[in-house]
Amino acid sequence: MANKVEVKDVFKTYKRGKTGFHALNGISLSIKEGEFLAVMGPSGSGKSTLLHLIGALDKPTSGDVLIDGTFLSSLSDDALSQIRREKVGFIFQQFNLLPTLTARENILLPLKIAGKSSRENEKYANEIIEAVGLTNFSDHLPEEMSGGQMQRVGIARALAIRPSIILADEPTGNLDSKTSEEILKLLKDCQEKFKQTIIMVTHDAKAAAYGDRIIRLKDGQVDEEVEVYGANLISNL
Amino acid sequence: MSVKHGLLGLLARKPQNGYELKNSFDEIAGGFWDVNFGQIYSTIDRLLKDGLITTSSEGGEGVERRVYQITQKGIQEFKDWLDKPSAKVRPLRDEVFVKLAFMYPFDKEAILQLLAEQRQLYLAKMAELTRKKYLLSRQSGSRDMLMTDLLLDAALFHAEADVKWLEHCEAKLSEFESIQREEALENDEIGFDQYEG
Ligand SMILES: Nc1ncnc2c1ncn2[C@@H]1O[C@H](COP(=O)(O)OP(=O)(O)OP(=O)(O)O)[C@@H](O)[C@H]1O
Ligand SMILES: [Mg+2]
Repeated sequence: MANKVEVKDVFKTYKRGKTGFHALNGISLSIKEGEFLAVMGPSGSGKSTLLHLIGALDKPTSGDVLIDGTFLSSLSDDALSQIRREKVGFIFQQFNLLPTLTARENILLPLKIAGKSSRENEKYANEIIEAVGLTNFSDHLPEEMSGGQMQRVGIARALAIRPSIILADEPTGNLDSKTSEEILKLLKDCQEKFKQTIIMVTHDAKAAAYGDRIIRLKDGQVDEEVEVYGANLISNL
Repeated sequence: MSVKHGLLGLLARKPQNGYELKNSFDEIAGGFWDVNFGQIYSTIDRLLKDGLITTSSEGGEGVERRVYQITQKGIQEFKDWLDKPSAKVRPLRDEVFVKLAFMYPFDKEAILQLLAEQRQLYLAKMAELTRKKYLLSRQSGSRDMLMTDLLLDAALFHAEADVKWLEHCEAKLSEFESIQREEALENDEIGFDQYEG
């Protein structure tokens, strides 16, 4: 299967004192279309930085990222923001919700921005709202919600546009184990039903176990890789 | 669950022979508990001796089979057990821990390697269990499936704790080693200075 995402010898260097500090230190990685990759690793190992670069939210110091075979460095800022809008669903470590919009409005906002507010898309968004267990909170403002509820709004918002790539940074970090399981199942469904490619950062081994492949970052590089037997479920049935 | 109470529970449902008991035990333990016929029969002997079950033979042409029934005393024992929480906490007899204890002063690289490989093994196992869980969740729900799901969860929670502990060991051992190395370096330097002086 084709590579959905390729990370080629990427460095991300921040100034720290006199010398530079490599948050990513020459990392290379390929993610196949429809793959579910789990990324683990200690705090500060570069996981969030990697997701940001793949999601075109930030640029590498050197090296390149390819999405669907296109070098991101070759694209204009407009083209990059189009990729962010249409191809990538980002579930952030911080929720980044707009405080003046209700849960439902926050979730529908990316559809609006992308000019895709069709009835069919709203129907799908409603299904997602139900699947993440937010039906009773859809009219609440962020300040009227708990951390776990806001997290779920962030998840629904990322999924509502049915992006071909889902980038998730600790998506179950604030959730109890039963809700976490429901969210992870939903992500797995996205992969199985819609062939969405998922890259999920997590500290939680139970969450990582939903991946087809589990990698571990250390000091800005891939330190370990665990391949999971029988990667594609449905075709194995 | 102990084999003893497992068998009592199964016999409380209906009388069975040893072969049937082994099969029902495997089924109810969801494949997470390996018991062999030897354990089943030695437990049956003990239950007979304690008067918790009785036996009668079921005649067949040429084959004679012993069928076991639970007694009143057995039912009472089973009910008492069922209602009480387990007093025993899971014993800490991790094989890795024993290996660590023997390896520790010798070879840091080998230890870290062992911990990493063990962690990867657990992760791969967890992924396999998660797959089962996910496939199960796509079928329509029944009470039996919920029980299997909960058993899978138990295995996953325990494996998760093991993975965390292994990561914890790695972090602490690495830190400890680097402190020791620094101290050793300092001592070396002092020794060297003294020698020079
Ligand atoms: N904007 C920045 N300026 C300077 N340093 C940064 C910046 N962003 C990240 N870093 C540094 O880069 C390293 C990697 O950060 P990153 O956020 O990718 O870690 P992480 O693996 O996601 O950690 P965590 O598990 O704690 O979320 C850290 O040491 C961090 O301090
Ligand atoms: Mg992070």
